[in-house]
Amino acid sequence: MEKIDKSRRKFFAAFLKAGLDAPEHWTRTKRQTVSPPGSGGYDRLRDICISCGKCVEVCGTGALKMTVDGYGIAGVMRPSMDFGAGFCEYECTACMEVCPSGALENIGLDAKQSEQIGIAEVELKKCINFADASHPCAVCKDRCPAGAIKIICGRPVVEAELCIGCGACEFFCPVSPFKAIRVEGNAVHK
Amino acid sequence: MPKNITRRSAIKTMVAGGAGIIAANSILNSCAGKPKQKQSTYVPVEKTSGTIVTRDWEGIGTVSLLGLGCMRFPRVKGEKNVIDQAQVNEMVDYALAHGINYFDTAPAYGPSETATGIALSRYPRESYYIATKMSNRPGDTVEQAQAMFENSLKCLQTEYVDFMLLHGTSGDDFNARFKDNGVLDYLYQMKEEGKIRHIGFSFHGSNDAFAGLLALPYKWDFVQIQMNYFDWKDMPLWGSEDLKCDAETLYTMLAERNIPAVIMEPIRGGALANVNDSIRERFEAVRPDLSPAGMALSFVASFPGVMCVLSGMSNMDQMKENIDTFRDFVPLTKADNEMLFDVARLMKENTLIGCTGCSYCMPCPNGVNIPGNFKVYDTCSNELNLPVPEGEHNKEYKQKRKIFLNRYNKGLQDSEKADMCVGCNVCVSKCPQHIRIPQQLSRIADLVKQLDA
Repeated sequence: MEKIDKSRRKFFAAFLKAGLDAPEHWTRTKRQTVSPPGSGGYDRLRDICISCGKCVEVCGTGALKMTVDGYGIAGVMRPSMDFGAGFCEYECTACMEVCPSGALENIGLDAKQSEQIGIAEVELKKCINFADASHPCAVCKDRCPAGAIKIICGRPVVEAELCIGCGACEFFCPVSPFKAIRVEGNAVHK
Repeated sequence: MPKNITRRSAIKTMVAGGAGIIAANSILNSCAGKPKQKQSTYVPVEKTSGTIVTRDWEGIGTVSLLGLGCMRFPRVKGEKNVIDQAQVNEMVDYALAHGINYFDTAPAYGPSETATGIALSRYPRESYYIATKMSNRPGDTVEQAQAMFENSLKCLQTEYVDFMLLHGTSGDDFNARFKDNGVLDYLYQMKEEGKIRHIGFSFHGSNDAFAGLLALPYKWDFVQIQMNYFDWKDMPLWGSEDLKCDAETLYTMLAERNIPAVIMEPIRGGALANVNDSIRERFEAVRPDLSPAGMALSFVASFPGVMCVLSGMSNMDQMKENIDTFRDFVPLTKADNEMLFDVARLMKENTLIGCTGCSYCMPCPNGVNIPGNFKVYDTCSNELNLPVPEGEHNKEYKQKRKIFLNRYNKGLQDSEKADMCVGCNVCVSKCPQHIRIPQQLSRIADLVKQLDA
């Protein structure tokens, strides 16, 4: 009998297996872009921002990044928060002060600390506390400047009224690369 | 099957098969994913199986130490007045299976009586006790009371109730509600006819008024009082500061007269379940097996004169936690109690308004969300997060201020805020905790004004 070369079959099989084992985050819904404080929301930012990039330059933690597709086709190259790279410093209003167009309106520190640009969501399956209760972790709670996170029965719980979406919890969450706590942006700031 | 596999047919088969597997995988993922999201965050550790502690009472029978309060039954999402019957049935199944046989409801609890009736009527009537109440208002006639009682029987789908309570009397309204109009005589007549087994009253008032009620020439088979470690030494009676009330005196009076005590508000409407971290640590040091709610329940259940501790449970997790507390029940020691009284003192220093969130005060004619306003205040003060505008404006104050204002401004609509109160005093008489609602609301409004300045 003729000997069959199975290498091609093996290649296809491996290809299929990779598809089956696709990480769960591929199938999850796309996360909501978090627009910077003072912008009021997606629509206002799209309309007024001139994409000068000054806010990105001045952002001390490096959380502000220009986004290509975060706000749709009409919103190419507008600033958005990247909480993988940094977080929005609680006591800082630098981006609002430097904005020449008024897209990031300088609403002042007090109002900034009340404006909810997004809200943190906990994914318990990834949380260290859920996986192993013998190593309790409270990094998100300790880093939250707004006091919005409580550890109840060993699990982090976010209080919606207090969370301002600054992303400190997401940035410092030790679960990597896909964080157990993530900030989902508000299309209109609350 | 063709033996000659051509390249084309092989690839075709593989692609079709692969697509099928990927589709099946994604369907499976999406199916498996949904119920997981609904899982609650708290996964209680199941203790060994077994029923809860019971106590025997002369003339009454065997009553479970833990009773199911039906006021806080789970609601259908988004609907305030529609009870989630499926969940209630499940809770009642679980309760009966674990030995709870005391179910407390009232006509004033909205749809609660009907839901309780539906859930309980699936079981033999002898296997449980029903407690319901006479929730009449001052000046109501005996006919209105009769209609209310007959409606209770109909809703509960039963021929008789085991425990009938005069609902929430403060002593002052006793004559107007029950004596002068003959309602109490009617209830005793019903007792003779067998439609009521035992008569008692639930009490919200001062020590003196309580002594007065017990001295009346009526036979009280049991009495329901508010008791918890917070109210033990001093129960805040906001309506009248010169009157004194404390759970210790109320309980002692009942114990002296051998009247079984039914305990309501053992966790103060959930307020004692959410204690701040420092207090939680103190609890864990003495009783690591108990949650803060379990600690509060154990405190009242440790007294021998207590017949039944009522806990209003709104979901299965709370019920499982409560039942675990009463399964291998170990009473608290005197030292534990002293620690609890110290904790109560700490909590009182962070002045609590003491609202239990029962919403009896609602609706407000001006649309103020009274329990919502009080919840913001009490939550902050329970966490020791109450800002003091007169003090130093340091970093700590700034954080406390922000937390209070964010909760207040985002949790409440503008029309629901404390400054909308015009002081009409309609709510005052409705509050079973005797909170001076308009004064407390203006205190909150003042605080907000000072914080905003």
